[in-house]
Amino acid sequence: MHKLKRRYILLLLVILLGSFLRFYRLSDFPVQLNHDEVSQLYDAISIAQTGRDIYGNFLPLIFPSVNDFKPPFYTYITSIFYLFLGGGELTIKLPGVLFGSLIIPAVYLFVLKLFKKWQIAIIATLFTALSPFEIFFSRKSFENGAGILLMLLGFTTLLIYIEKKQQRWLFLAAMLLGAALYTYFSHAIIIPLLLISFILIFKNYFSSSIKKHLFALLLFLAISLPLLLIALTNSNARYRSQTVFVTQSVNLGKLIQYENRYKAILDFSFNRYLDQFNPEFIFGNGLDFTNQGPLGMGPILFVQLPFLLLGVFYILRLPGLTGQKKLILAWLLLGMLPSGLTFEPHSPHRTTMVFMMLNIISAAGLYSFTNWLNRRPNIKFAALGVLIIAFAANFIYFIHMYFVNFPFEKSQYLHYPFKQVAQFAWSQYGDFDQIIFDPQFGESAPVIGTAAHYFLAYYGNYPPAKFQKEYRTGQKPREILFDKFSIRKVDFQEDRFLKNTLIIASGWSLPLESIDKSKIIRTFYFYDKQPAFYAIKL
Amino acid sequence: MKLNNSWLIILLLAAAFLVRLFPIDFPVFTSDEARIAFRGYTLAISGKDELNRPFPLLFDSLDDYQLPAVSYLTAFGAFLFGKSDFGVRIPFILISTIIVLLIYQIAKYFNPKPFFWLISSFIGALSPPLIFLSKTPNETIVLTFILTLIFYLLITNKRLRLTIIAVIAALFVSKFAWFILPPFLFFTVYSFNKKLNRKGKLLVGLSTIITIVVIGGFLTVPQASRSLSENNFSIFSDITVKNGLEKLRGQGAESGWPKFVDRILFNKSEYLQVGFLHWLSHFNPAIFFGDFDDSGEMSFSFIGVFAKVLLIPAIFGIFFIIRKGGSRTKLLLFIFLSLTFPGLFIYPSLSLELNVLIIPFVAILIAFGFIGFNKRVTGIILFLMLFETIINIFNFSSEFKNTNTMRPIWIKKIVVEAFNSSKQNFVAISDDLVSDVVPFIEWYTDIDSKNNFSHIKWPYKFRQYNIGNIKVIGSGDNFHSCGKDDKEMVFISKRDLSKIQHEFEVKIAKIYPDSTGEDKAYLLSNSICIN
Repeated sequence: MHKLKRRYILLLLVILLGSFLRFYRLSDFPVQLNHDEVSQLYDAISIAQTGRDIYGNFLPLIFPSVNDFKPPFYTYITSIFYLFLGGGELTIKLPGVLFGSLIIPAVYLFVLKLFKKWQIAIIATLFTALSPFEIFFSRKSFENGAGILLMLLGFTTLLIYIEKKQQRWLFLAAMLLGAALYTYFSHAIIIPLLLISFILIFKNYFSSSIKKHLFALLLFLAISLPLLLIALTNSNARYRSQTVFVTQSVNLGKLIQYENRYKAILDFSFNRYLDQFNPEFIFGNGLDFTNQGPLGMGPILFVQLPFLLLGVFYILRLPGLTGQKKLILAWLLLGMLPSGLTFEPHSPHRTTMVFMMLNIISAAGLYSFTNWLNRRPNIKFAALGVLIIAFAANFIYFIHMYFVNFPFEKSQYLHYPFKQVAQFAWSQYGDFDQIIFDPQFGESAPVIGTAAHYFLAYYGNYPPAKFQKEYRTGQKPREILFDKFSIRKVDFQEDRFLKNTLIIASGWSLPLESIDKSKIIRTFYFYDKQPAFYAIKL
Repeated sequence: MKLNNSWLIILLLAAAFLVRLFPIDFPVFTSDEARIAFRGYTLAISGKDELNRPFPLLFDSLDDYQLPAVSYLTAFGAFLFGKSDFGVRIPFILISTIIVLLIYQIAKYFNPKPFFWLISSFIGALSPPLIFLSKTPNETIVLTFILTLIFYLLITNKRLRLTIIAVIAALFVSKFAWFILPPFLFFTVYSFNKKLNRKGKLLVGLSTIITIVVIGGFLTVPQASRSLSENNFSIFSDITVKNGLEKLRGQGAESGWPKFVDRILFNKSEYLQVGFLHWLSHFNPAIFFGDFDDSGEMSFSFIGVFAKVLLIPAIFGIFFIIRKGGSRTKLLLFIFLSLTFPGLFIYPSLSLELNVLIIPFVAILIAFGFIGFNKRVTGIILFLMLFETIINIFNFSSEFKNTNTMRPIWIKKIVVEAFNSSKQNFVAISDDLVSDVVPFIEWYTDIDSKNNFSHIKWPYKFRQYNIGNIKVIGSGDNFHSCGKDDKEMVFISKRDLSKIQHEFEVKIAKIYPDSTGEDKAYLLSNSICIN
């Protein structure tokens, strides 16, 4: 009883710590809502107010958003939050941190069912609470968190089913895993694969009564059916898949020139898949917090590395639990597939389920290490002291990286300072006939911010119903129009003759040296004080 | 008729030898390999290297000083078989074939089953980098051979004298050996014999002393510390980490973080973390089973150290060793660390040479994975392995294109024509056609090597710009119209062509394409002279 209480007190403390790290100064860091957050938030408001997204699609199962065709789960959840909390920035962030916090107890349950050792489960929750990738993705309203939570709960209930043979757990698993499919596109591929692996690994438990399992399977398929229909019939969904597939990689394009196409794709994809296991990526700079080469932050704390290796040894040598060990292996190998098969060299956001499992393995490693220490009382306290200092130092390093270096180094990737631009544009709304915003910007190279219309509409409190009517594409390059806003490429040679117009554009679009400085009424800066945009009064 | 084990290994060695032998002129040499090949030949016939230095101990290359063993080994081949591909490649082919035999012998030590020995050596025999590197004069294959040999001698606990000779030889093959050998010897002797006996102490002590003497000797050479700093400890000279630390620390100060916290978080200990992770990234599975070296310098392009399918037995091999392996078998995992640890200090590029050193041991690890497989699974995996390896190692057409810059087969035509022209005319060739054109001229033509002496005692990253009647055009050279009696043939790159086109009307007599079909060099027909 005493031990039971201690276990739950510890769990509660870890959940509180994890929640604190996810909620602390949430309005200030990240320093601005990113383009995904703004677009999902405004779509969520639009759904809540009108039942349609900003393009007028009625209760869509896939959101066109900024032509990246987002999965629906997070937007709908946000629209529910909107009904209670209104349209503030926190409305989009709260689901993320809430799911991120709930992952902590979910990990506890999952690990408890996996290893049957509460100590490993508690350490795993602690690692989850402190994990850079968990904190980072929770705080940036990343939809994958909801998927991971549902997935964890789904497989936990399956493990409970294996243990207790009660059918209700099976149905609950079917519902949870079915719902998880809608949270993130890569889950729609990985969850069925992992489910098949689970059934194959524990086939003895599933082969007893086909009928009993068939109903649960049918329930899962019924939940998945709309998604399947979208995947097969919706051209947008196919377009999304094609645009992120590995064949879009520039390096593969070069390779195909000299090799057989299919051999080249196979070689390239396989290499990319394996490269996801690169320790430099996992422990070094995988979260891409800085532009300083190897100096950065990996999804997992560097100090966990020895415990990860120890964990592999420990788990492999654990007697029994053969199925559980195979499940861990399948989880790791399948979980890296989405990142390996997409166009980016590394995409940590697509591999969070693997990092989560690495946390669990390193928890097993730390558990075995503490067991070893318990047999050596003369060094136990010194070793634990060193360990705590090492963890604390590594964690503070992450905090510094996240709260200080990341905004300085990567504010551009949050589309900073689009918020200021949008707010300024609205402040000038009455003074001009037309406001033109060219979202081409960048510190070292130009990129185009695709969510500019969302930023303008959201920060102008523009009614979504009105936006749906006003939104249109124009004749000029990449032109989107609503109200008196034109979001498009600025050609200053031509545009300089416009009257009573406000142009907001970056140095990539404006011939700054030839523009009369008195016409520049405001300069917008990146977080590191480099100029990003100029507002020019015509 | 059932073949016994001895016949099978003989057949395997014969097959390994033949795979390495044919085609003898593939891969095409890089400029450094061409330099060693020519050096071997000139050492064999005259006892002097390409810079006219009699029996030197340190040689020139584009990246670093080169230790002598490889050059003299090449010279031995050239001495026996003349200036030919066969002559300069055969010593390395033989060495690589012996590695297969050593893997077979070492495997005996780890498992009593003959099937295990054969599988280990079969995997080693078909490892693409081991095949590839056996076909060019290079340090890596020789060091791999010697380290595998030393390991074999140590675990079988015999032939101390031969071990000492091998240790000394290794120190003259590659600078990596200087850092690897003492800990490797200590680790192997101590771990595999569970104690450091008298013989072991003698060996470790002696090798440490010899290593110190060799390093000490090297440090007396001009540019030696620069050579070590640039090539063996480049992490400390790499500006990225230093600047990065300062920048990140500065951002902390700007945000109001206490200075001492920033100093604690961002300091020189970061080099250790960066180096450590960099070292571990040598074990990235993508290197072993994905793409080892797409530049084509150290292996066939777009294949790993082993065929993809061997990832499966590799995973099972690791599991087997952890779960069921004896203490000696587990120590196999630590050999990987002890042989690759110089990678900790070499940043930012990966030192793929270090990965090659562990191939024989990884082959044995993979063989452990086969222990749990039935015959059908084993057969399928071996077939797929053979299939992928053969497809890749005989894919010459793609290989020429993929390695167009690193291994320029097209340069042969240009340098031969240039050399023939140089018998009557003065000839000039752009220096950016390839990384260094002079070794190709020396290797592919019958140029008299006595024409190119530069009288440099310790050439470090030295490039020749004059060889016989041929001048190599640098980016700083200028062009002018030739005088009446000037006769000059100019083979130029795009860089120099665009330079000339600004000033002169250019008439192109001939265009030389590269392996991808792109125009690479131009022979000018009008009288353009340089300088």
